[in-house]
Amino acid sequence: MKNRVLSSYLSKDKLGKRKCLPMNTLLLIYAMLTLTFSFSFSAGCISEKNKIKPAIDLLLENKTVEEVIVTNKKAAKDSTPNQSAKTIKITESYLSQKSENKTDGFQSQWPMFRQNCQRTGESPLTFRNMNLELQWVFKPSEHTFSYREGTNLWSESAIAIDNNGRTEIIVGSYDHKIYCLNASNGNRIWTFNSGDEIVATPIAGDENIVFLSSDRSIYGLNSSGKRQWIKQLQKWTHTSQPLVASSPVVFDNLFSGGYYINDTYFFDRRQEGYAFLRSSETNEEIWTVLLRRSPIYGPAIGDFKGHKILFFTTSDGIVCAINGQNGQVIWKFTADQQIRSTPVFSIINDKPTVLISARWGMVWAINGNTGKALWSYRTGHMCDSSLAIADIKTAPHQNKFLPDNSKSKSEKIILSGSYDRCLHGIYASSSKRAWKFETKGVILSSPAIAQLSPTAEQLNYSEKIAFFSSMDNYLYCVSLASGRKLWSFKTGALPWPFFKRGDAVFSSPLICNITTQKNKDSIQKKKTMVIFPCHDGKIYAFASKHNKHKP
Amino acid sequence: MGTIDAPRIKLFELPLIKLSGAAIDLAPMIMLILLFIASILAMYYARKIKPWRILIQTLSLGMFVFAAHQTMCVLRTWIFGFQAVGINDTIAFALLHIAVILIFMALVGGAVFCGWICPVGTIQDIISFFTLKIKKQLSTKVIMGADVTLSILSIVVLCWLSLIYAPADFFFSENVSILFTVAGLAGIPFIMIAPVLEKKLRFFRYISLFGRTIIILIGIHVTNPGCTVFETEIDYSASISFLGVLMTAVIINRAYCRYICPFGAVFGFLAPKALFRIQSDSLPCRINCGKCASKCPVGALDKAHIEYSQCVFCGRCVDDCTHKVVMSVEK
Repeated sequence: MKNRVLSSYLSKDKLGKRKCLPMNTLLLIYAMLTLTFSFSFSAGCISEKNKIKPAIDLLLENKTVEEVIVTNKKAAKDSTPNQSAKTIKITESYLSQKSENKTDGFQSQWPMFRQNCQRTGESPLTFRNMNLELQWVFKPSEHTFSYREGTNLWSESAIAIDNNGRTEIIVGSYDHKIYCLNASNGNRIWTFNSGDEIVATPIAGDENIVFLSSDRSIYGLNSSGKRQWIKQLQKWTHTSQPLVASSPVVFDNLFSGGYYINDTYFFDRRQEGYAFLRSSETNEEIWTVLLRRSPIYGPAIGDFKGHKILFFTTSDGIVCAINGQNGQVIWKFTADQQIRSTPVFSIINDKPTVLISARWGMVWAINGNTGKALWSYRTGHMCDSSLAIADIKTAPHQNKFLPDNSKSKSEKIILSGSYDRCLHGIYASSSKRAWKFETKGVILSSPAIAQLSPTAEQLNYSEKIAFFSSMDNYLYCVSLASGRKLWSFKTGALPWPFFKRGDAVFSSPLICNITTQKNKDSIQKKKTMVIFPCHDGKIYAFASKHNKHKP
Repeated sequence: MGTIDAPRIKLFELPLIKLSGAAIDLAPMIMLILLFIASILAMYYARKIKPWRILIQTLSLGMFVFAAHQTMCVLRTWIFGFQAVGINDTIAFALLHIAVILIFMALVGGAVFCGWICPVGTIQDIISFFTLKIKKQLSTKVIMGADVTLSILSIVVLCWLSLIYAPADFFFSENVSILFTVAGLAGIPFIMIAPVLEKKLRFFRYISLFGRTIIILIGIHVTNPGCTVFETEIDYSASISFLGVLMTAVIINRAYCRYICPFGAVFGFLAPKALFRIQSDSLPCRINCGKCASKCPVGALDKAHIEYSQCVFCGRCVDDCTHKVVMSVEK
């Protein structure tokens, strides 16, 4: 201490200059920055507390979901008797009416993002062989706008619907339009103009098509592309930003999704992520809850003995389980990083499990009952795409188990595309890696799973296959059991020179089938197709070649 | 073409202190501030700085490398953070807060972060601690020969590894870290031959900062060797250039900090204006024993003249000043 001469920073040196004059200014700037941050945060947190109903937040661990729902119901009835009771009544009436009206044709196509409510990305359709050939290519003929960097060329995925025996592909585009294409030849049937680009995948209700556009509205169209209803979610102002919508899920004539509204007006800033449940026919609102102050992704729906639980992810890294009856939060799980992917619900080891992939490459399996992490798997780099899961030993919608040497009856494989340029196949039961398929580009789109029928060259039982695209401009098909490549197709390159990480949403392939009619004996035959809205701005459709040596 | 599996060495893989329930972890920021305050206090009050520095370096290594799941990614996140301001304030805070804290630290204590907290620096310190012991037993000619061979070898190994692991799609954008590291290391053999060039090569730090800033502004995902340590992110270029950092630490103490580190360049700009700094009582030094200069790990001392833009505030010179009159920490 004795030797260390201390002097104030305001003291003057020999020349009479103040030694550290800029320090005051810089510290002032820093203090202002800190104050701004802390103010905006405290304001956000306080208003969030006021607006969100507490709703049995982070429910005690040992309770099952059924107990939670009962307590939630009671709490809701006690607090706001009129509204909640009405909400529950409406939901229950919808659920009781529509739960038995499921049709097979509806299930077999691709009605929403990731094919089903659980978001597994698995289609029950079967490909005859792996000699896939290009059927048609669709490119929007006139460009209202030119491509710029980070354009969301197509919606997250296209959907396939049956309309009077004709399969139609419906896809949203960056040019503010919804395209309806004939799946058999790629001809345009109709288009519908919205106010802004369409990033969220449309959904197919029983009779209509619903989509969220970035122009802050929900649209309901009929099967011929005419608008039936429209609901504005946020009024336009000079400072309102485009809506960030998640791809909704459709079940029992209800649809649920999330959206993020952002108003940058300085004195009344709004950054609100909502989850909602609505009727797809009449657009009647059942509930809307303010979840977080970040974009919302999902939901995936889990069925807990007839109770629908909705699982949402938020971009600030939270997984929420929401009671489908009244929109109350049952549990929350905080992941290690931001999340940009849709959650997946699946039954693994007889446990309801929610699977998510976080931004820095962690795949988390979360107990659907309690919201606690079961296991985690680390990929090499960031994960922005949604996961896909399929049982490699059991065919979907069949209770018959396929022959295999091992004793266990089911083995689920999770597929995770990552920025480390690999598609990871993970055993769902043990979180061990089954295989890793290397490509030469980062994988941004989510895989779509289909079946491959047993042939002479192949195994005795049907094999599961996954289609996914990589930024090395290839559409790949790999076997789910072994991870080996079965087929690949070279697509075009990005319209702009290079892509920035995380700035654009790239579309995923889908599986659908078309009915082909033969003239001679007029026998209807189904042909399975894979349709891929590609990052080069075109839509490709592939189908198996006719197998001449069919027994 | 190949891929590397990232080892999972982190003790806590979930956030420790959540910001309003979100995945944004405040623990690294709090750790950083506490370590910073501790190191400033140690510099200011401790009689012997070395044991405190070793303690804080060990703590920081343990905390940032083995404990906290996500630590500091400030190289490129600031630009994404500025983009997110007003769009999503939560994310903006997550991406900006560490950068703001680092700048604040630089304004208060200069490059204290480099000398006391940065795990990359600590690892280089450990390597040079052992190599200096070995070098003492060897003759100058042998050391010279070994250094020149090793520096050329390190460049060759780096190029070879980057060719093997280079991603096929965006070679340039993904390999920025390797390119800058190799370009910086290419100067080291020349320093061995002509030591005069040493001061000139230090300017490369600013080129590295400038180049990276341009690339970050374009929007390319840039990494640096620190990513491997702070994030356990086995990114191709980050991991390979980290290997280069380790190899060059054998040749020159803290070679990466001296010639390439972009953060060092930022600290180099801000440190001369800092509140705290190491200063000599009487300049020029009357004794001129040169002990302080020989101890300096970054070569910031020349006959008690201190180059503040280079100083990492480690306090070795203060400790080793035998006459106890030269060095002091000034406020």
